[in-house]
Amino acid sequence: MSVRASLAGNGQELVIQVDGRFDFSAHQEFRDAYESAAQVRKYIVDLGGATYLDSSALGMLLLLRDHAGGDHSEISITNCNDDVRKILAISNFEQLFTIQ
Amino acid sequence: MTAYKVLIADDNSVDRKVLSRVVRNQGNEVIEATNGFEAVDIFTEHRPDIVLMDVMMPGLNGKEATRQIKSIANEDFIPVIFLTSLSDAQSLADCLESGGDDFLTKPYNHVVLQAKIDSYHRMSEMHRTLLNQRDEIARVNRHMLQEQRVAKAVYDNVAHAGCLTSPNIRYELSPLAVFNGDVLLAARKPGGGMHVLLGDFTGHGLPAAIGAMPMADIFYGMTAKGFGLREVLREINQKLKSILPVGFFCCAAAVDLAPDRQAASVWMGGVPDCYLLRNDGERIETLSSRHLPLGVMSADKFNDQMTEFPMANGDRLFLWSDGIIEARNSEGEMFGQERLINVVRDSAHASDVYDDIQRAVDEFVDGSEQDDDTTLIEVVMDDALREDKESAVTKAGISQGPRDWSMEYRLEASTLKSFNPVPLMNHIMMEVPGLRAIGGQLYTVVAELFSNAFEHGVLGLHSSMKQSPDGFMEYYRQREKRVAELEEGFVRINMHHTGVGDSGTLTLTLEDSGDGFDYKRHDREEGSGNNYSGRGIPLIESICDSIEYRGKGNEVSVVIHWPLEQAT
Amino acid sequence: MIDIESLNMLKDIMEEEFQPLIELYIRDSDRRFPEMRMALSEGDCESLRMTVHSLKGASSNVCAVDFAEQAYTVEKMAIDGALDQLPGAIDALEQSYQQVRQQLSALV
Repeated sequence: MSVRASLAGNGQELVIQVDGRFDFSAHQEFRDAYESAAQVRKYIVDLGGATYLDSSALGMLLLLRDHAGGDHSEISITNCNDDVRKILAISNFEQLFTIQ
Repeated sequence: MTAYKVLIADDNSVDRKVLSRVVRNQGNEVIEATNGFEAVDIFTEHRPDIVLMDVMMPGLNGKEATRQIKSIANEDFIPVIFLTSLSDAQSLADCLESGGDDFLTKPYNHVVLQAKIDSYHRMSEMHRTLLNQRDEIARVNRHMLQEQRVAKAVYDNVAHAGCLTSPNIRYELSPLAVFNGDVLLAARKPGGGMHVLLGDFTGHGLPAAIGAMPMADIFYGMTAKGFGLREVLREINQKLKSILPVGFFCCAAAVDLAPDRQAASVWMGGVPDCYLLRNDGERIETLSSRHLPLGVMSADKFNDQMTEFPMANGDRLFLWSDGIIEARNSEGEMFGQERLINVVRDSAHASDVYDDIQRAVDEFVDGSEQDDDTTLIEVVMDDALREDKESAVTKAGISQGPRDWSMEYRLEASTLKSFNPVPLMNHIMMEVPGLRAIGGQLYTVVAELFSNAFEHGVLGLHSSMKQSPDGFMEYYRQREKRVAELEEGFVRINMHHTGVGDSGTLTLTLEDSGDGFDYKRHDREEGSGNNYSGRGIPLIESICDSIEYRGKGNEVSVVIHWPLEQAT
Repeated sequence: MIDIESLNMLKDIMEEEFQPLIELYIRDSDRRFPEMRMALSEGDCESLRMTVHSLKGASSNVCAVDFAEQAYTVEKMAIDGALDQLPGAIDALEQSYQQVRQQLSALV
């Protein structure tokens, strides 16, 4: 499990990449990734390398959303594999996030 | 340098004397033993910190004495250093196998000896620290388990099994499941039928259990009072949203069984697909989660929409949390949705499915530990769920509550500027048990009627403005401005209710000080952006038995008869 | 025969116990030879071995290094059960011992 953050789009977007199992062990690193970065307009959570998502990962996404302005946030979750996509679908997270 | 208690066991008096002096020179206390038996006895009595043991002794030799000493020392780390001649180096492996920790060769080098004694002392200090920490952890753990037991007792008082023991229900819920966040609640509705709720809170331990209590309290309390499942879910969502930190939520599946209509409604948020098995044992329908879990959305965004479907006697609903799907075998493989649907399909009879599922999961996880998570419930539609006339009257008190009453409020401009009467009106109406089942819809009607009276009537705003996005903004900007500037105007609200115990009629009349509108034109025009369609009339019409405009159109009266033809 | 330098270090360590130590060694070691011969006469190589072993250890502690080596040779014979060689070896060992004894006595 690893979390990497980088700025993109001319410093306007923060890309957070999560690889491996996205579960409770990622908690601290994931939080640090967006808390230590300056406020950006848009967040992209790249789950291309993520093999698994559990309910604590869903909770972490909600925390990010809260940090990014709640209803005014702009967060995309990208490169989901079938399993990850399924978990997000069951929880109807597309109502809160843009899922690509 | 600290003074250690050193036991020197050597049958040779010359060797003993030299060693003893060296060790004492370094500030330590020495006890001597001349043979193996003596060494064991002295060790037992004096419990030295370290033992210097000669290997070759008559009687009980050094290795055997060491074995016994290590056994007596038990958990404590008492280092044993063998004293040996270089020629014994061959059998050193042997020595260490008996439990010895090191060796010292003759002739004794006092520098080496001191270094070893110091080093081993550091080691035994570390070991002692470790044991203390281990004991502390064990103590704290026992304390926590005790607290959990207390929490569980409190929880059981609140979240009792309700009617989970009804004949039409079979369920599997481990006694400590609440500490995995799993909750199962079931309650008979006062008018017949049943509410069932399966919840799966995020997290483990006490944090997962804490949300379950208010949820159960609300569920049982409101169901007993005759509230509809949508209202119950809304209330639970709001409660959880307010008490749970961001990131914590409750995935849930809720069912409203309506035996009178041979139908059921479900609300599912964040739980895996569940199945409805028809009584022929053949047809299987999948029910999927359409909503976000409870505790995520704010009240204004919460979607309480339920999915209704026919459910005949003998049809059965299977609900589960993801514990079953994620149950792992000894190879770490998950049970999965595939296996689950296959078990349901392959069962010989509909009534076998429940047992078949349990057996399949048990066989799958055989050997590996986890057992607290496989929450499962089967709910069968049955005539016995219909209203029990005898108990209904005494139970939820449908016949209690205000039956014949009127109430009137007249709100002047100064009040209208800052007071929204809708929640109060709603509260008053909810005092009538029979109205609780349609509480949500009533709220919508009242809110819409008041909005019309206040915004279109008193403030004089045109709803056609709300058609375009920019117009929308403009509408609310204007609203704010006019409220601030409001000096004259009123809204009069009259509520009148009559009832005979299991039915009743509510009449709501609102009058405003505005100019009204030409309501007679409604019959001829389709809603296309004029004032009229903006007043949400179609919505009100679907809930009310009748709706009547009077005067200039600035007075409206609606009649609602309960129970509605179609509940919730 | 005796490692004087090491013995001096031992003297520093033992201080007032040095003389009693040497006296103890001599008294102890004097006994060993009758013990060895007794064990030999009974064919008890195990007891013989233990006696020589003990003598070897004590001797190295009083810095009679060469003598200790010689004792080790005898010990190995006892382990091997070389009954024919042992009598002669013990005699030779006793002779060496006499020298060690003399040297040590002179020092205290």
